[in-house]
Amino acid sequence: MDLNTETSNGILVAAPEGRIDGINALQFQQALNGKIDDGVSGVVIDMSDLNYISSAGLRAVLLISKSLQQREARLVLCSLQAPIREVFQISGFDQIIDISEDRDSAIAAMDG
Amino acid sequence: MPELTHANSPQSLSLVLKNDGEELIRLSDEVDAFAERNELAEDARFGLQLCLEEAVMNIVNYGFDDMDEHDILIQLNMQNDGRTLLVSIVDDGTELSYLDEVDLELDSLLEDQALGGLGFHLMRQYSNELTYERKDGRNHLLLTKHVARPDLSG
Repeated sequence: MDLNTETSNGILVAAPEGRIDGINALQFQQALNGKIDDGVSGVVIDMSDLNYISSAGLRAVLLISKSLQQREARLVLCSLQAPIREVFQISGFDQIIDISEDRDSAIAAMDG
Repeated sequence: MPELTHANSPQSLSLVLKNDGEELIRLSDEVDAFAERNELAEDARFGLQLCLEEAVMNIVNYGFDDMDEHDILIQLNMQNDGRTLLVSIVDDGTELSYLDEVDLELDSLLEDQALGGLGFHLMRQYSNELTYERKDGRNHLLLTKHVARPDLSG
């Protein structure tokens, strides 16, 4: 899994590629947390290039969300491929984590 | 009831994994190749990969109290109808104790044991039938999945 990140106006946008599974979920979580500093007020995870996620990956996303809540920062996911969206729905994670259609609307949602 | 066969053919896959999380890479590659051979649709591939990962990682993470090497036997068989996939997972780890529905509360999911429960929840959702049996000191998990094949859909 590759993780591309960019920060603009205090919003960190992270785009993982490939899979987040039992092997690399912790690596993903640590890599993303490592990019979050005091200047970050919100995080967008753009999942357009993510084609697989398992329960270990879902847990990593949840832990990132919890960690951001403690900093009073927000997490919004966007651009989920159909199978990824389905697994978020089936697990109920779509009820506890904000999901937007695309990157622009995710960034816009940060202001809301 | 459909039968699992042991013959190697394009419609079957037999794998012996070690109780090591790194084996997930080999499992994923082999399952991808199986899905390609059998022309499984994208959602069926995703569900198959997910079910197998959840089952195997559960065994690797929670199945053994010792540091010894153990085998996990995986078998996939596409039935002659081309739509019914049987998946068998056998291991000699501790007896599975949380096949019952789990509490999917946010905070409880952050605990390791609940993660296994989430994995089983996903396996149940992505399979059409899931049966578990403890036999001869081994866990036998049998999963039936109805899969769509693009060439059969029209």
